Amino acid sequence: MAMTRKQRRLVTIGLAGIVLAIAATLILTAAKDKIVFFYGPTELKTMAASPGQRLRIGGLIEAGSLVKSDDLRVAFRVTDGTTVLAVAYRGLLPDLFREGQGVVAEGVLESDGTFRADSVLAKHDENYMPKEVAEALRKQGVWKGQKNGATP
Amino acid sequence: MLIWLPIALLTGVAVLAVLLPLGSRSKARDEGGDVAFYRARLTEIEGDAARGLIEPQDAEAAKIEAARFLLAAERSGPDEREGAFSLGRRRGAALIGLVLVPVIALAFYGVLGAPDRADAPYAEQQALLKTSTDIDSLMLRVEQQLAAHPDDVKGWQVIAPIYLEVARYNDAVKAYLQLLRLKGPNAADFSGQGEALVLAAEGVVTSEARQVFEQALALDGTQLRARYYSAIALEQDGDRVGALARYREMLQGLPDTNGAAGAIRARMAALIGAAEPSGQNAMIAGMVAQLDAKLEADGSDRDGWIKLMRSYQVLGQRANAEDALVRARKAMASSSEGLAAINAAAQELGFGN
Amino acid sequence: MTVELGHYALILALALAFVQMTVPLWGSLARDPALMRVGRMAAWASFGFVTFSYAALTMAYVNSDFSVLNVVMNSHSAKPLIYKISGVWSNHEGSMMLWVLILVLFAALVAWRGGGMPERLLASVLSVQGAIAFAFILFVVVTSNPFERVFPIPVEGQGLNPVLQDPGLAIHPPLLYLGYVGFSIAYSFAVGALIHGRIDAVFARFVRPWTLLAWLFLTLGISMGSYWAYYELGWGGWWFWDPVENASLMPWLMGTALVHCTVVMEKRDALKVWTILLAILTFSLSLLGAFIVRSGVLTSVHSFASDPTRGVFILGILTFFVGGGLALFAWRAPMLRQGGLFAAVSREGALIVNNLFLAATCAAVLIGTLYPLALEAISGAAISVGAPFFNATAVPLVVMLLAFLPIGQTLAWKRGNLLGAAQRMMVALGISILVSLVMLSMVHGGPVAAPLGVGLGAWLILGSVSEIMSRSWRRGATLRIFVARAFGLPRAAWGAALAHAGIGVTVIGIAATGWGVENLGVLKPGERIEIGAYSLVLDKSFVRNGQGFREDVARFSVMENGGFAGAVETGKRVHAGRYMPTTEAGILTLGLGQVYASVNDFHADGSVSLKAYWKPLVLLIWLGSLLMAAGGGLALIDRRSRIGIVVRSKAAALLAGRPA
Repeated sequence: MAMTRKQRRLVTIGLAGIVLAIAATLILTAAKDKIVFFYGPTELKTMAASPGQRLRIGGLIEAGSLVKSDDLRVAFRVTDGTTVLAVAYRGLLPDLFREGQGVVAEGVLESDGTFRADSVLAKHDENYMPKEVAEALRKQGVWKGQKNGATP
Repeated sequence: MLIWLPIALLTGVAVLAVLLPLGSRSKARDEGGDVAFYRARLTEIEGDAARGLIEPQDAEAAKIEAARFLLAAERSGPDEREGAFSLGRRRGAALIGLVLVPVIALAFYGVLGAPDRADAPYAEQQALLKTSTDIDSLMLRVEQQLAAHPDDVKGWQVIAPIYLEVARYNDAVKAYLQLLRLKGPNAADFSGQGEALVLAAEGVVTSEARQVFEQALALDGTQLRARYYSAIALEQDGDRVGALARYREMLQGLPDTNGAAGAIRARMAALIGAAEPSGQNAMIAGMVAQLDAKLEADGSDRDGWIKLMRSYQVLGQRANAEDALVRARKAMASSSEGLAAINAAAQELGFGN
Repeated sequence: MTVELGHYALILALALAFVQMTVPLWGSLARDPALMRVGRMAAWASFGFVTFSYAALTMAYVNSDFSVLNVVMNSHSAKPLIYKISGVWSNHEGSMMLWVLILVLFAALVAWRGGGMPERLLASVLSVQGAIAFAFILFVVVTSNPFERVFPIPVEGQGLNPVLQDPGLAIHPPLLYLGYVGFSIAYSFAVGALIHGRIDAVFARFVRPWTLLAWLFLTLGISMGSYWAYYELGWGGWWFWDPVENASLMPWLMGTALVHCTVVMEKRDALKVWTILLAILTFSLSLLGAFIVRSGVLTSVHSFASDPTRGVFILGILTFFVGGGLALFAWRAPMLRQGGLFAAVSREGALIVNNLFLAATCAAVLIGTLYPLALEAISGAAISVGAPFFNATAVPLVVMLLAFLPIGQTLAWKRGNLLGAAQRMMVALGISILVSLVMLSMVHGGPVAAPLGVGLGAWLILGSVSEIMSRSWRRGATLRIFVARAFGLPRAAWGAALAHAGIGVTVIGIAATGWGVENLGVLKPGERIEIGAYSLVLDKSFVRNGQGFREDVARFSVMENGGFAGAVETGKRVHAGRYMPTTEAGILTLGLGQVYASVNDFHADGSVSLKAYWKPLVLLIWLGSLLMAAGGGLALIDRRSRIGIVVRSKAAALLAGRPA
């Protein structure tokens, strides 16, 4: 009870400072380690990503490239019209996974240049084109926008 | 019109909602809000203390504090002192209600509304539809039946050829796909699907259509439609000799009276008919030449280029088609989107790259 | 004619919202009671008109009136009636209508219950609420008009989207909206009070029930939404840190902080500035959520309307109300009277810590949600901020808050005794640590965090039990007195304890996901796949035809120790007129855990590839949130927080005893 109003205010401000410092530290550390960058196949090739770094890649699944094996191993190629990237994955593919459709995969780039994905995403809308993929393809001049993209 | 009556009524209600309170002469309520609040709190604390819910010393401290606030509130007096009465102000507010409300409402509704449109509930529309017998409403009825029972094979069988007939080729493709789903793979429906694909592509046997015909022929090598379009595919690839051989083969199993035989013979005649540059082919050739000249003058028409490539392909003039592709690429060099479309079309036609 | 009258009624509500925005404020500034009273009448009238308009739209859906474009796009004559009704809000235009309906409903409720409020405060609050209603009705009328007609009239509608025909989806948007929009009342109170210039305990008492109500609905809405995503999307997860989910989590975090600090303001007349700021920020985050969902600036599994003009319009609304609110705050807040005093170690101090952590968590979620957008705008790099980021930021902050919660809950107002509080909580803490240790030693495998999480959950539950016990028990008192005192505690105290225990239950559910088992495989009939103590045996796969769809189904027997525990069916559905199959997950509830099976592919040889999960105690996640909401409900029906009535009757009694 000996504290004056000023001292109390200081305690409050100090407390706020501590919590904010904790929060800021957590956010900044996480921003360095936990954020995953997205690349199209061409970008990935030109930037020479270090193997082992977590990445997201996206593009169109190249027609005729999908190979499924018995133990749920899948290999396919992703293209942006210019560059082709081989992707290996073990697991279940999403409903919308189709050759010629857009896809986003997250994983690491192996030293042999294949991309080892641990998750493959395609979203649950028939006309959906992942935004990043649309962007990457637009850069390569393949994607023509929603209207032309819809199949008859 | 009838609708303006209820609209006037609703507007009246809205205006009244604004005017009524303005007309009331009552004074501001004398609440003494704060004083009452802190008094209530004091009784509350006393009640809690009496029931032993809080310790006596806590209750005392809380009471002292509440009393302090109560005193402060009493000292400052009620806040609800009324401002000077002003007739002008009330008139101004009344004007907002009387003029602005109807004006805003009618202005917006005038622009956005459709006062002359009646409701059109489904049941009524159906009753109207039942009485008409034109082909469109007949088709609609079948379509509704199919929407409710998508596994009705007969329905799909009826509607698929009608779709081809009325040039709804994409719907025809879907209908044949449904038939294939329900009946399992069979040559006739594969052929139907293929034909629909060809017609949808303005007569070009696309690689997709070709695959479908191959599936049909794998199931039944005698399927006439599939054979016919496979031969046209050869024709469009520029393989005249191969195409002619196929046509001849087809004719062998057909009686002359069969309508298909006539079509095949006409096709053969046209093939050989570099010798016969009259009639339809000549007309088409003329139109193509015109399009070509137009694009030479102004190359910005992306769809025009695709059409030109297609036309040359259909006429079997592959060299010309490839030349058109080169020119189209040059003309579209500045538009990545256009270039992509041209390339895609070329790929579909089976050349380029 | 009904459709057109509904359209006109909506436009009339727009005009009335304009009146409600301007006239009472004018009256409040000029202290003219007649002008102020226009606010209440206008609020009732516009509620009436919007209700009429909404009913007209619903009628158009029920009757399948395909002369209305919105009905054509989103309904179908063959839809079951319940989905025709819920179809009204399962699309952008209709859901904005629901938003507006709830907005004017809350305004009408305030006008109705606010009889005991100081009249100038009520007038200012209704004015601000009128401004919000005006902005959103204008948005609906101009950019998202559900009454647009089409000609010629199509014979059939196009809206048979199977994903949207689901009871979970039918319920959770209205709940979420009641939450989001409910916070508009807190905002209106804050801004109204700033205009009015009077912010004190009386103000807090009036704003608190509305905040609680909004918080309660938002809690239920988020919980329902999470369960919907869990069973409908077939991904086995219940929270994806998806932008739309974050958009609902942020106002919830701030709303939770607001619920707590209105208590401080009401009881102790302290933290006024902060309460006002929180009220403004909470609704701002609700608006931000609306902007994120409606504009499509962030791609998400949920975003169903992406239209730039709408985005710009909502951005305008957002800027106006956030900017306006904060500007007014910056101008008026320094004039606020200093509030009650308290020591650092006290209930007030503990609630400040609570607020700090909640705000910090909210900031972490906000940064994670908007950072990709900012970075793309600045450098063009596309990044994804997903679960790893939030798990490393928001989760530790929440854990710290929760670890400290039971202590804070037991501190006394004004001046607390940390040692005494610690002693009271000793038993609870001891048992919780014991629980963790036992779990650690008994359960092998799984992350270390899981037993610790269960310990934390136990600490929260036992802390709440201990709080109720220590407040009811006195040395030497008999059991009867103890029980009587326990029942005599204010409902708000029970509500707080229940809500805090609910968080504990949810935490245990989340912690137990660490022991979850998942496995994937390709099975022929008769083959099995192991998930922990259970195994799934494929009985058969077959084709089933339902109303409007065809489904490939795989049927599994769930075996436990060789015995039959139940059956699950999972399948792929193809709906009429659609090519994309949807996955139907199969769920078997065993106790509080669930076996979750999600088929991926049916192969030609009759085998089936699937992913199967055993999720122990998973139901606790949602049960806990229901307890939280129930706690909020208890606090709401506490006689002391019933607005208007109690103040008025007590005031009347007092006035009768001692005429003023």
